[in-house]
Order: sequence, then structure tokens, then C-alpha cells
Amino acid sequence: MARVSRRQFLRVTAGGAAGALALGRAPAVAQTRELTFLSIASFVPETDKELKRQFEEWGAKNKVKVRLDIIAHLQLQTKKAAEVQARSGHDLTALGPGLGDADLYFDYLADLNDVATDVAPKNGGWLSQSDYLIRGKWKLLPWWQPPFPMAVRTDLLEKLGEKSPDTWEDWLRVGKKGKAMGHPFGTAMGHSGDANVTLLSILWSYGGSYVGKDGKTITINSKETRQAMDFVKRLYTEAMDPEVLAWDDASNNRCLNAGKCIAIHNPISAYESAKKDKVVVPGTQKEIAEVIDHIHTPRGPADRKATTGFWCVGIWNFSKNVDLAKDFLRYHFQPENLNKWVEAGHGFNMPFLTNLTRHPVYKSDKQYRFIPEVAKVTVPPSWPGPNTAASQQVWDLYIIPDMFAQHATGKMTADQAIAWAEKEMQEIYAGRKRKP
Amino acid sequence: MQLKTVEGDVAKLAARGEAPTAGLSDFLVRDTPVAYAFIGPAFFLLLFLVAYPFVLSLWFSLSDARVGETGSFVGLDNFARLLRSGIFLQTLQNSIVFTAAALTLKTVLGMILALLLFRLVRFKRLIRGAVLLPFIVPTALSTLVWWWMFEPLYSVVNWTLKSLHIVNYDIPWLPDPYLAMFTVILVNTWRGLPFFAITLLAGLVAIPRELYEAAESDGAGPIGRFWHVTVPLLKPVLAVVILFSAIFTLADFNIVYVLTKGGPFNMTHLFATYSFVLGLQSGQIGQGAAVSLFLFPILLAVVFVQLRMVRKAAMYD
Repeated sequence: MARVSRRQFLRVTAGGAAGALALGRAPAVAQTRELTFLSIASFVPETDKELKRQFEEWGAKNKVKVRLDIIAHLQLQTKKAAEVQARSGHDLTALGPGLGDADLYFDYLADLNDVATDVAPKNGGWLSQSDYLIRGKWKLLPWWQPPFPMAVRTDLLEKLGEKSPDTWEDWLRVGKKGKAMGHPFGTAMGHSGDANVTLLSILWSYGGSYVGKDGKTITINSKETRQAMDFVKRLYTEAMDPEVLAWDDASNNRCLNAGKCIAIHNPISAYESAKKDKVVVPGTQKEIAEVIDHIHTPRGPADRKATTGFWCVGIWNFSKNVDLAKDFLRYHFQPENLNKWVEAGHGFNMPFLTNLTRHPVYKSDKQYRFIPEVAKVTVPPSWPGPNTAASQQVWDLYIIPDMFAQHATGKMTADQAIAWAEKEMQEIYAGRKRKP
Repeated sequence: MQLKTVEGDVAKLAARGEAPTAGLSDFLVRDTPVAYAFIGPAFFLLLFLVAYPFVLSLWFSLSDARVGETGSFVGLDNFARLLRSGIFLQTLQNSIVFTAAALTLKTVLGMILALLLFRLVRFKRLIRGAVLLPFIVPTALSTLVWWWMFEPLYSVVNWTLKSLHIVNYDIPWLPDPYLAMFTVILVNTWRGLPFFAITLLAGLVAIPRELYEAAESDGAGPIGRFWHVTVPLLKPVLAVVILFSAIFTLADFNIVYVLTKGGPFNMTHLFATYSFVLGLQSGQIGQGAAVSLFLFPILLAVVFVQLRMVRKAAMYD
């Protein structure tokens, strides 16, 4: 082997580096095209494996090197902010939860009008197209949602002589009886995404909302909100344990799978992990998955509505591979690929496309029978207002859960808590007015 | 009873003060360009890693910058807006309570621990090393273990208390706002204690033994010796330790983020966690920067006063 002296090595490498710098691009040998994708870890890990498989398959077909980076969902917000701030990072990125990113990062996301129009007809059209258009443009593709049914313990319901609870009031009654025998109802009320989802669902079901259709008027101060708050106070004090104030997104899953909670308002992830890990009902040999069922998200006096994490996908416009990235999105959104991906996720990851809500997976297990029904009443978190950076901030700062919790725990009266939330939201919406 | 002083350690410390290396250092000191060259790297590191981010965040706090936008100058608008926000006022209150309580606990317990370590004769090194553990383990990791211990459903603390029949219900460590604050203070104290103990121990070791003997012959008891010899002589060390710890405690992020995420209803948010939520998660960089810089003027005053105290105490020596 020829020996290279230190001096020679330095001269060659320094020269090479200077050359590359002067040309502003990598030398030809290194010029393979590379597409990078930042995504979040799914609660059903097979979903990620299928996505990776499709990404690699597409890469092999198109002779593109691909890299899929998967991070925990809580890290995504900071990661996006850092990439935008630095104007560099991945080409494709997961966005959300919520469609607010399209407004927040409007100037940094590539237009996806062409892709959105291409993929829709093949999949039976978008579920609710007008919700996904931000300032009249497709800045992201809504990707998947985990609908929120009610996950219940059928054996405990039977013990209580409860047939099919359907309204929030029914669940208060069931929860009260359940709590008396050590099996409380469970819904997060702290700083977690699930708390946002369930408490917004209750607010709407009682006829309340926090922002008007115009996306400006704060509508939280209403008698409907008061009703919803009184209901949640009763639910908290009579049917739940105080621990729900400190729950994170995985706590309710644990509560159900530990055999404690009689019911939780949650996607099918708890059931999926119970099934996979063969969790048993404490003190018995019976698998807990066998006594879990999923039923419709509850109805309130005014409506039956729910929301969920609207996970989306977009392309940074500072990416050098916008066209390649679009090509992959077209590939992934082909019916057969989406079908396989939903299959892999056992339906946890429901796309916002009509045909996919009728995927055979939802008929494969009776557990999933209500999921398409729940999807029909699922609206974006800012409903009836549009998705904006402001609505995203209301979500990120947990204003809704905090409003409910401050009243439920007796820290504030209903009026005080509403006034508090109203003021915070007015400040957020006023501070988010777009510069002309 | 006689307080022991490790003479060897004192001798070593004294020896470190001198240590003449005449020839080489004389040359280096006189050669100004060489001196600049040596200071250069540190200076540039400070400039880019401390001064630049600081000036940038100062600018951010006075602008309406959002993620991806440099923003334009808005004066003190961000600060005015913060003062109108209930969440921020709560954060301000939490930060003061958290810092005051944690600092007091760390100072008192740290002093006790240092005195105990000082009197230790057997397994001295092993125990002194072990005491440092909480400080060495990455905070995010150790706090996660604390979270498991206090986690609502499987709390091992509650399990133990219930098994010992001390309580018959689950104590809501994290769901109750006051207990949650207690828990984050507890974990912060646990983590910061070694820093106090070991630094104060170094101070104790440096106090000449003769002073205690003189005090003893003047009839001072153990408490008198502690108040009139130990405390005054430890003051400079104590001031520096408290100063550093005040800054670190006020800027704590990991413990709250892992244990409570600022909840329940923002009752445990600190400047760093709220600034993170506002600045990075919601993209309001200007306001996020304003949150983290809010205490800067106060801290500056504290640093100034404390450093003056240290200097005075040093002169008294």
C-alpha cells in the first residue's frame, strides 16, 4: 500500500474541500440524488415499517437514495421550527397535529395543489376538502387521523347492567358506578393532546365552541360552554380519579390495559397493544383485549362531534428536491399503497380520503366497526373556525383543558375560568393577525 | 467535641497557590501577541456561543419575530403582552416560589451534608463520590425515573406508603398543583444538593483548624463555632454557590418538562418551559425570547450585589 504522508493528505483534502466550496456543489461521485423524510413514530409501529418499505421501493425504482427519520411525536414541533429557522433539513416532513402548520409555515411550504388534485379522484375524493385548504391553497396533504371512539370494558359494563351507553350523560352515570367499584372513567385533563381532543369533543357536543366561522370572534363565553363545564366538573369529581390531571397521551391506554379504567375516550391503540402484548385482566387468565370493545364517540345534548390529531405531510419549499418529493407523495397516495399502509396500521391511521374510510380492515375485526362512523363526525380542532396559527396556539397552550380543569378542581368558578380562557384566546388571536 | 480538619488537604491547597514556573511563563507573559493568540480561541467561542445568541435573543424579544421570520422592531410590546397574560403571571409566580424554595432547601441541606461529609472518617472517597451521582446522571434520564416513581397509576412511592399502611389512598403527587410543585422542587433539590455539598465541603476543608481551636479556648460551643467561625468563613463560597444555583434553578427546564409539562393548569410552568412552548412550539419566537429574558435585569442586579459581597468578604480575609 502506498504511504501517504500527513502533508500530502492535508494538501489533497484541503484542495478538494476548497474546490467543492468554490463550485458550490459536491463532486460528481457524490451526486446521487437523495430524498429525506421526517416522520413521527406511530402508536402502531407496523405503519412505520410499511412507510419505510414504500419509500425504499420508490427510491429503488427511481434510483434515488432515501432516508426516513422517525422521531417521537412530541419532538416534531421543535424540529419543524428548527428546520424552518435554518431553512434546511428534510425534504418531506410530517406536519401537525392539526392543520395549523399550513398557516404557521405558509411561506415555507411548497404548493401541493397539483398533487392534491391528482390523488383525490383515485381515492374517492377528500373527506372534507374545504377544511384542508388553507388561505385557498393546498400547503399540505392531510395524511392520517386516529379517530376517537370510546374504548370500553364489556365485562364491567355487563356487571353494572349497562347495555349501550351512548351519551356523555350515560358515561357519567356509568363512570360513577364504575368508580364506586374501583373502575373509574378515564379521560386526560392535563397538558396532553388527548385532553384537547376529548374536552373539545364535549364542548361541541354541548353546543359550545371557542372561535366563530370567521376565525376571529372568540365564542367561548356562552351558556353552552357553561353547561359543558358543569358536566365535566361532575364527570371529574364523580366518575374519575384526580390523576387524570397529570395524564399524558399514553396514560389512558395504561389505565385501560391495567384493568383499572372502565372506559377511555381514545383511538384503538390501547387495544392494539393489549392484543400484541397479550395483557391479561388482573387476577385472571383472561386476555384483556377480549373484553375491550370500541363504540361510537358519545353524543351530547346538541350534537355528536369529535376531533383528533390531524396528521399531515408537506414539502419544505427550501428543499432542493420538491419535484422528487411530490413524486413520492403521488406514489404513496396511490390507492394500492395507501391500502397496504392502512392495513399495516390496523386502521389506526385513517386517511382523509373517502375510499380509505371504507377499507376492508374496518370490517376485519368487529372492534373497528365504529371507526368510519366516528370519522364522519370528526372535525378539525378549530371547528367551526378555520385552522390557523392562532388555533394551533390555543391547542399548544392547552387553553381548553386548563379552562375545564380549573373549574372542575374548584380553583375557579365557571365564569372565572371562561373569562380566563376568553382573555387568553383573544390575546392569541389578536397577536396572530397577519401582517399586511 | 472537636471538629476535625484534614490538614493534608489544607496543605495541598496552600501549595497550589504558589507553584513557580518562572522561565517559560515570564516569556509568555511578556510576549503580547502570544497571549492574544492563547486568549483568541476562548474569546471567539464566547463571542459566537454566548454573545451572539444573547444579542440575538435580545433582538428577538424586542421584535415580533416568528419562526422563519426575522420580524420587525416592536419595542417592549412583547413584555407588555406578557404582563397581560394570566399564564405568564402564573409562570412568574411559579418561578419565584420554585427558585426560593429549592435554593433554601439546597442551602440548608447542602450545609448539613457538607458538615457530615467533613466529619466522615471511613470510606471517605467512596461516599463523597457517591454523593455526586445525582449531579452526574443526565437530568432527563434521572427525572424520568422520578416520573416513574410519582406517576399516577403505578407510583412506587404510593405503593410503598400504602403497603406500609401510612396512607390508604393514592397521593396525587403530579395531578395536584401544589403537590406537583412540591415534587418538582424535591427533584430539583435532589439534583442540586451534591453541588452545594461538595463545594461547601471544599470551603470547610480550607478553614484553618487553629481558628476553631482559638474559638474553643474562648469557650465557644459547637453552635457558636458554627455561627462565628464556619459561616463567616464560608460566606464567599456560599455566595458563589447560591449565585450559580439561583441562575441554574431559575432556568430549569428538564425537570418540569419531564414531570409535569407545566401542568396541572400551568401551575408548574417555569420561564424555560413556558418560553419553549410559546417560542418553539407555537412559533412566537419574539414572545418566547421575552419570557426567557424577563428576569435578566433582576438577575443582573443579583449577580452584581452578590459579587460585591464576595469581593468584600475576600478583602476581609
